[in-house]
Amino acid sequence: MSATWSNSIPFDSPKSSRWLLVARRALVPTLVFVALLTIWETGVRTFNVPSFILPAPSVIVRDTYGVGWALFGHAQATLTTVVGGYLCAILISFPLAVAISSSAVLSNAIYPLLVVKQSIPTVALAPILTVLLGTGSAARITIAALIALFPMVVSTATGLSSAPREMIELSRSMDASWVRRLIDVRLPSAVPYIFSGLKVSMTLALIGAVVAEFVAAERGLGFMIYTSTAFFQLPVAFGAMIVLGLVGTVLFQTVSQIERRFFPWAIGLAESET
Amino acid sequence: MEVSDVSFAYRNQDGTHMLALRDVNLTVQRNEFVSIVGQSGCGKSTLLRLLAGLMAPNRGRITIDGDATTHPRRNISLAFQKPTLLPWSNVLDNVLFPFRHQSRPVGRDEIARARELLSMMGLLDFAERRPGELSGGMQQRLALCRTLVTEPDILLMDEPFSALDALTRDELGVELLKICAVKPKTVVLITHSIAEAVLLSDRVYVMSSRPGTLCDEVEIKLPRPRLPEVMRAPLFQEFTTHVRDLVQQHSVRQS
Repeated sequence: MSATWSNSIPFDSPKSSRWLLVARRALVPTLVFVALLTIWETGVRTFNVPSFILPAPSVIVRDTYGVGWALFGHAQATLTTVVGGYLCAILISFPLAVAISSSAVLSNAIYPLLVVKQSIPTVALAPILTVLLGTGSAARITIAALIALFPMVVSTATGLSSAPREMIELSRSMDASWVRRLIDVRLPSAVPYIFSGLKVSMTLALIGAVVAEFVAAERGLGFMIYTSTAFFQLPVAFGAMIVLGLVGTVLFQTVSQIERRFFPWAIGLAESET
Repeated sequence: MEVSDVSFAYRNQDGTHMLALRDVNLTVQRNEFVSIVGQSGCGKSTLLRLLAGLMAPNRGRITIDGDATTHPRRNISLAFQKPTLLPWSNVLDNVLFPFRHQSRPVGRDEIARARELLSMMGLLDFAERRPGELSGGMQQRLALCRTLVTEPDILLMDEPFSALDALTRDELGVELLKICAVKPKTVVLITHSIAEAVLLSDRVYVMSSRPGTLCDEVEIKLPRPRLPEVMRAPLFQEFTTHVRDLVQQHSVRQS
C-alpha cells in the first residue's frame, strides 16, 4: 500500500529524441512558409509589380531594416499601450467578475452595460475617447483596456461559479466565511477559465492598441503602418505589420507559459470535472 | 441529535414542489453509530444535508444537543460520495484544508494530527503528491483523513465508500470503527449497502422512497470491536437478511 510504485515507472524520454520530435514537427510548417515566400518573391519579380502595391519580401526586409532603431521605439510604444491596457483590464475585470458571480442583482446591473459596451465597435469608440481623454497615452491605454475587458469579465465570472457543487457544500459545511470560500475554492476552480479569457484578451488588447494608434499617436507600430501607407512606403508598412505579429505572438505565448509554469494542475481541469 | 416530524420539499423549475421527505423522526444518541439504508433517490442525502445545516426543513425541527440546527456547525464533519479534494493542493494540505478554510492557525499539533491520520490510512508516503496522482480508493481515504482531522463530535457520511470495490470498502469501514473506538463520535452513515450498514452500526434505519420517510428501525446486537470476520457469523447473516427483507417490503409497496 505504501510502496512508492510511482517512482519506479520506467520513463524513457531522453532529451535528444524530444528535440528530434520538435524539429520534425517544425519541418513541414517551415517548408510551407519558405515555399510561400519564394512564390511571392518570384511572382513580384516576374510580373514587375510596383513595390507601392505589393512589395517583394526582400524589399520589405531591406526597407524595414533601413528604418533602423526607430523601429524599436515604435514597437516599445505599442508594447507599453498593450501591456498597460491589459493590466488595467485585469484590475477592473476581477472585482466586476466577483460581483457578477456572487449576486444576481449585481449581475443584472453589470452585464447589460458590458454587452452594450462590447456591441459598440472599438473603431467607433476610439475617436470619441480621444476627444474625451486627449491624444496622450491615457486614451490609448483606455481603448486597449476597454476592448480587453469583456472576455476577461465573462470568463472569470463563469469560472468563479464553476466550482463543483460538492466542493461548495463542503465549504459551507465547514462554516467558512464568504471570502475564504472565494479564495480557497472558487478562485482556484476558476483558473482554467480565467486563463482562456486572458489569452483572448491579449490578442484583443493588441487590436485596441493599434486602433488607438491609428486615431491619435505620434509613435507606435499602428502609427507606423498608418503613416507609411499614406506616403506609399508600403514595404515599411509590411515590416511594421510583421513586427506587430511577432509582438502579438510573444505576448500570447507569455500568458500561455505563465499558465503552464505556475498552474500545471489547471490544464485539463475544466474538462475533467464537468 | 433529534429529528422530529421533519418534511422537506424541493422547488422545481416550473414552480411546483417535490416532496422529498415526509414526517421523518430520528433520534441518535451521543457516540452512537446509526446507518440509514434505502434505495437511491429516496431522500437519504436530503436528510443528511438537513442534519448538516446546509438546508432548513420546511416543517419540523432538528436539534443537536438541544439547539436547533439552522446553519452549519464546526463540530460536524461531512463526507461525500465523491472524495471532493482540492486538485491544486498536495495530500497533506488537503487534510489540513478545514483548518485553513476556517481561518484557524495550523500549528505543529495540527500537522502532527494530519500526519498521524495519513499514516493510519497508509498515505504518509504520498503526503507531497497531488490528489490526481492517487487511485480512487486512496482519494477516498484521503477525504476521510480530512473529515476526521478536526476531531468532530459528529460525523455525517453520504455513501462515502460506495464508489469503491467491496474489499476496500470493508477495510475502510473497519478502519473507521477503529478510529471511533479511540475517539468516540456520533456517526450518521447514509448507504445503500446493507452489509456495510450492519457491519458498522448500532442501529439501522430503513427508508422508503418518494416521499422519503423512516419506516423501520433495527438494532444490531453484534459484539464490538467488529472485525471483517464478523461478516461470516450466522448472526450477521440473520441481521442482513432481516434488513434486506424490510427494504424490499417497502420498495414493493411503492410499485
